Amino acid sequence: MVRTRRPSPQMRRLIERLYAHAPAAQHGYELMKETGLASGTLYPLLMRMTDQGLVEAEWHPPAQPGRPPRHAYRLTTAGLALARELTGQGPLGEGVTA
Amino acid sequence: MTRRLAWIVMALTARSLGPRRADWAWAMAAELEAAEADGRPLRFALGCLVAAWRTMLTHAEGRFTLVSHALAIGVILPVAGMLAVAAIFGFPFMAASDGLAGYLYGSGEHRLLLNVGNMIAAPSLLCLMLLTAALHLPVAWWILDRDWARVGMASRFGAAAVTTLTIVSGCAAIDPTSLILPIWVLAAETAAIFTLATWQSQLPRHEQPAF
Repeated sequence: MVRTRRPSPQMRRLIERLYAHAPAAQHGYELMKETGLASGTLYPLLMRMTDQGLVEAEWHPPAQPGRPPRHAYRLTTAGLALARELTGQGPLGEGVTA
Repeated sequence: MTRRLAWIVMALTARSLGPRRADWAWAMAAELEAAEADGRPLRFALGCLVAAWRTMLTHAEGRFTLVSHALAIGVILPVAGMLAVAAIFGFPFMAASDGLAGYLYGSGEHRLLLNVGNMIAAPSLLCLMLLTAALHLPVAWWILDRDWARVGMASRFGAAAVTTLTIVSGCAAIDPTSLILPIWVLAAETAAIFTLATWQSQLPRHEQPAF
């Protein structure tokens, strides 16, 4: 699905962090700490961006035995294109308040 | 304690997200371990619950989950409470001068409708009322669990209990019109449950999160 709405400051912040780590995938809790977004904001954003085809989620095997596998997120080609487009408009974190 | 509470909140989150978002529920649960290591499991879990509720209205599965929670918590449990309180205040073998308020708040005067001859019916009527009220508690859970077989079984028991209550009240010479309101409430409740079950059968099937 093509995104037509202007990204929110929170979404710009998330795209910025995912873009900074691309092509590596990031875990949800790391993204929370890096973006400063609460889980109540981060997860709806990730779900929506995944539905829109901007982010892809993959399961990573546990780092230690007995731990569950973790979801990790990275920008898709469309997400990377949006990130570059936003970068062209100025710093991705601009206008974001903590 | 905080850890345990966080996992309870996370289980509620998984239930709120529903089968369609089961993988997201698993993902959040896996991150809860990272939040525990960071010393903020409850804050993370509560955020996930907010996230689940925020996404629920955007799809049919979420709306179904929301409506089923509203029915269970907003209708079934209050009806259970009202039936239990009414039974404790003597419904249907006590007449309350304040009508419904008399049965729910105990206000006004209460007059025993039974006499020495039919007093023997009182324990049976009280047991039936309390059983019907108590059965609402597992029914609320089974609705959330989408266990329609058990909900159907409980509904049949409820219908049988109300029928018995009406017959026994008639035999004890109690005015059967006093039972119209509870019968109407239970019938409306059953209709709502049936509508919910029909709606659920039309939703696409997904795997249910298992924690």
